Amino acid sequence: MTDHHTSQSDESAAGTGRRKRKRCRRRCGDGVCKRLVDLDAGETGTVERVGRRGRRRLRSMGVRRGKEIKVCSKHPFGGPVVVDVGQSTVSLSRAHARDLEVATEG
Amino acid sequence: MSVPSRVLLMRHPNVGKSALFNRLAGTSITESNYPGTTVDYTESELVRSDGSVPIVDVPGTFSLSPSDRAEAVAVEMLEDSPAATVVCVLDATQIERGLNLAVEILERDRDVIVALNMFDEARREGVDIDVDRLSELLGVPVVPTIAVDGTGIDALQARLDDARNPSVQRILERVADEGPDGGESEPSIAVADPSPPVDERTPADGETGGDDRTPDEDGENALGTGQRWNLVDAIVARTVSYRETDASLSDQIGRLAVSPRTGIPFAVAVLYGVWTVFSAVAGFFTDGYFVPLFDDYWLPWLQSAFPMEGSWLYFLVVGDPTATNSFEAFGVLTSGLFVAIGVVLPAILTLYAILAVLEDSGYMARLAVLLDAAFRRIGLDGFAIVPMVLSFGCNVPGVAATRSLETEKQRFLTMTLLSVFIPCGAQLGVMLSLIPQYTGYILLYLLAGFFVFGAVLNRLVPGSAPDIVIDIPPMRQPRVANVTTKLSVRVRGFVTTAIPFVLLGVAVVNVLYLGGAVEWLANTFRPVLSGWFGVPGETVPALIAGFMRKDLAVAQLSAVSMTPFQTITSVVMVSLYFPCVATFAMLIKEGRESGGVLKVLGGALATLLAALFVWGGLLRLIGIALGVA
Ligand SMILES: Nc1nc2c(ncn2[C@@H]2O[C@H](COP(=O)(O)OP(=O)(O)OP(=O)(O)O)[C@@H](O)[C@H]2O)c(=O)[nH]1
Ligand SMILES: [Mg+2]
Repeated sequence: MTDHHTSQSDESAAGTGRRKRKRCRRRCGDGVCKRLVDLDAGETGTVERVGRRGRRRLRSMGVRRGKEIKVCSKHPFGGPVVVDVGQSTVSLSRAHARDLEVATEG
Repeated sequence: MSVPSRVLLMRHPNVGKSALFNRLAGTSITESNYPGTTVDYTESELVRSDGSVPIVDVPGTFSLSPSDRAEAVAVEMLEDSPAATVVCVLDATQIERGLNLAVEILERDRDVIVALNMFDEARREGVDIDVDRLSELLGVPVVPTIAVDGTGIDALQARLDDARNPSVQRILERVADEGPDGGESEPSIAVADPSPPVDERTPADGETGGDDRTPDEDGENALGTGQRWNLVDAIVARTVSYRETDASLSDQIGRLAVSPRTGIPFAVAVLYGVWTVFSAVAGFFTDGYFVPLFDDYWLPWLQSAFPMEGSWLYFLVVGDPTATNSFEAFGVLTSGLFVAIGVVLPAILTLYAILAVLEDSGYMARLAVLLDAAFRRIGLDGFAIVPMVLSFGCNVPGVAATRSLETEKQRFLTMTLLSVFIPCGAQLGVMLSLIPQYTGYILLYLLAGFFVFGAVLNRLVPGSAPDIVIDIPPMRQPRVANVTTKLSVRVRGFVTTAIPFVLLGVAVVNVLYLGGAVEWLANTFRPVLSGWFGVPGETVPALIAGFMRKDLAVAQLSAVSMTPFQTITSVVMVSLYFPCVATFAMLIKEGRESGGVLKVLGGALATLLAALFVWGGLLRLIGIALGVA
């Protein structure tokens, strides 16, 4: 079920790029709001909203609102996104990364 | 406060609880550098001047709302021991999330003492912690410890009786009273703020209402998730300061090992390196030392010295009086001893040493990240690599390690696939010694089967692969002491449980021979064996031995005269078919706890039959296509 969902949202993200961009241009804090999955390796931001998916787990690992987050690497073929947050390094699945909003400078 | 009735060590995964437990209780349970090493609790006695108290190493948990079986064990332990003293083991380098769980435990009214473990690493990484102030704010003793070298263990022991259970309200007040340290760090002390914290207000939350709440949260002592984090932030702002330090070499290696461009070649190099080291070192001892010892001295001596040649006892103990090598004699004290000590022991010693280094380095979690995408295709997630890698040592701990996987489906898939497709170290050792030129290919063929059958099972079994979050530990240099402890524990296990089984296996096969059962079975199964797989009926004794030990089964095959391709096919068959009794017992044990024995065993047996006939038959077709079968 999860897999199914994942591939579906992949398609819709590709298909409706415009809508996605509109949503992401929303301003938040003093930057632009993006989904974590749209950041490139090396980019940083501040966690703005942790999606419902796996929120409890992510929070208990220290991924929560207001924390600075840095993308270390993104794995190909829908693999995980590795981030540095606080003092820890955590690997999130793509689905988590799509569901996590980050405020960035640019 | 009072003498504790029971001591629980609780914490996040991978903060060094087991290390601390070993120092406190003088035991040697497994310490590894990846989250999820301890999947069950271990109980021991803590000896004190005034008698001893039970002490329990609880599996690591990220919060008190468990998300896998190992975590559920942790929470049950806490709930079942209302009077226990809880030693909260914190990773000093990651103090925030540690404190979060500590506060959660305090909310549950337990006497708590905090051990700030990994204090050495914290210092190295520029994390300065004001221990006294932390202790004052929390109202419980806080003891810095370095579990691996024993620093602070005595202090921790001495202060166990001072464990306290301060109310969270009091902590909130103390923190609010004190005001932030130095004035400039601002985490708004929203602890006194009655409005729900900002991220609790997001609309999505309404739908998940129950998700964040622990059963206890309606109690007066309970905080919401957001409030708890605010409190933690406030405490950290008052007690911890971070200095910038340069990334160390191991940090850099760790980073390179987990990014795809560098990590994948690195992983290939590591795995290939493991394979070559394993085959070279194991072969070095077996061929260079044990083969001459057994073939030139032990075997001829026993053949001539043992009385009653031609009797059943001679056949049982010595085997073939004319055999010239220890594989083929097939007596309990000839082949049995040789396989167990001469071949398998060096192999598993080497393999366990390599595994211990892999486990301690922190590389496993990185491998899990790299392989996540591939494993997701077969309904598993990257963390399935842990049971899989452990299975190469022995399938039994491999099956046990599936507990750290989140869903029943994943546990079933992993358990089944690894007990069917992963050859254990003992079996690999014998293969390397008998057919070194083919072992690598057989292994690759079996791994291919793992993925093909995984993909099929993934379609057949209902359920989903959850999205996982992997906490990546820092790379650490494996400690020699820890590696040797692990090795000695595992080798002792091998000597006491595996060696008797190998000897018994030889005896059982020989008795069946004497009774004529082997011949009867060979005739019965010959049509299937030669018709479907293209191997002679004489492989039957190997298949019988395979019930007991896979290593023995492969050794048994050496006595059958076959073409090289038939040998390969029969080795593949021995690997695929019935898991050895020890693994089988573990499947029953774990099956009982994840979805029912019948379901798990039934599924596993159906898979192995399908795998045996399909994958074994396919190999024959490949052989025919290549013109070698
Ligand atoms: N430098 C340093 N390393 C430590 C310390 N304590 C533990 N370690 C290492 O940290 C790793 C994790 O230790 P474990 O004792 O297995 O951790 P655990 O909390 O039992 O982990 P799980 O069983 O997975 O929940 C091991 O590699 C230990 O050698 C410490 O004080 N300092
Ligand atoms: Mg442990």
